[in-house]
Amino acid sequence: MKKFTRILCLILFITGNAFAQGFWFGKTMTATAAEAKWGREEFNAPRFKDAALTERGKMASALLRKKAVWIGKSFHDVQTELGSPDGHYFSDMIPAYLIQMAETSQGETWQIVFLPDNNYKIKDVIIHRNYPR
Amino acid sequence: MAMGFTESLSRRYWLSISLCFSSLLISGVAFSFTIIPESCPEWFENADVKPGIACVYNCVLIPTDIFTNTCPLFCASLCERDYAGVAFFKITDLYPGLTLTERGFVVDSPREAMIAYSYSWRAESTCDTKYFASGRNDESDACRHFIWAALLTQRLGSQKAKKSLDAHEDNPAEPTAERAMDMANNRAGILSCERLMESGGCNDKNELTEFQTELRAGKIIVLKQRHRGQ
Repeated sequence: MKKFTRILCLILFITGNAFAQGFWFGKTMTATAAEAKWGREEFNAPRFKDAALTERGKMASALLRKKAVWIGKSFHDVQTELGSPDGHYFSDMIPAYLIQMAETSQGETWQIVFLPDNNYKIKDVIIHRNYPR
Repeated sequence: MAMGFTESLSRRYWLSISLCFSSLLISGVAFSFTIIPESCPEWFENADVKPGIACVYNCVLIPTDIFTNTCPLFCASLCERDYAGVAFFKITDLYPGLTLTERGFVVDSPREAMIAYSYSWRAESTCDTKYFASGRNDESDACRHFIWAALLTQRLGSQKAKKSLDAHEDNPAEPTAERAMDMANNRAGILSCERLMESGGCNDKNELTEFQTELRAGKIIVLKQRHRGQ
């Protein structure tokens, strides 16, 4: 019984940690992987604002590589530069911008997300898989 | 004597749990030394919120102006003796993107808040079967709000569901039209579930069918059509 309890705790601990990691961020992508997937173009905020998803995808790796410029900015700052968000991450407050949209249930939807800190300022920028979760 | 593998991991598991609680306690103490903006103590005192139980919840609801708009973030420090409220408020630090009213809702009704949170995921999963992206201001957004409102109504009743949903929408930075869209679709979801509950059929599948019916009938508000109104 004691051994069973320990094994159960071990399973709960491992699955809990695995769930927690997926819970908070879901599947994300590095800048290198983004470049391999969509190519690379220099990031330009006005162009990103009006670009089609394919063009946005090409700028994703460059944006991620220079994410430091976004740290500390407000949601309003992000929306002023990049336009109205069209993705969704956890809540309607968090700016998220789609860069690839699935056309079937077998496809994938990806977005760039500007994560907030507790003072509602940007603390990180990630490329996140919107679908499937 | 060498420790067995599972025994070693089991001890580390309990050690990690202990460290987790200790860090929460330490952070609670550290939080008491947070530097509070000058305008906030007076803002708090003028509101005449009583220290003790429910202090944090009442504090985050105090109206603010340009000089005090960050003060609700310090409610956990301003409130004395509301230990449960402070603890729950600190927990909301872990959840990104909650409005201040939502954080207050967590303090006031932690059980309902957890249900609301888990059901928001459920609504998103339900809508994912129809739309292959979680978007904003489009049909998928309308679906999420409709289904979430319906599921909360089924579980908590209309009044508590509305309280939770209104807390989620209390975001001063959200454009008026977007907020109006969300609230209208929340209302539609609540009414839909009330109708279906009479026949015992308010669940994910039936609500998704209802949503699609109402969308085609033009009864759902969508600001940006992405899926041709389907």
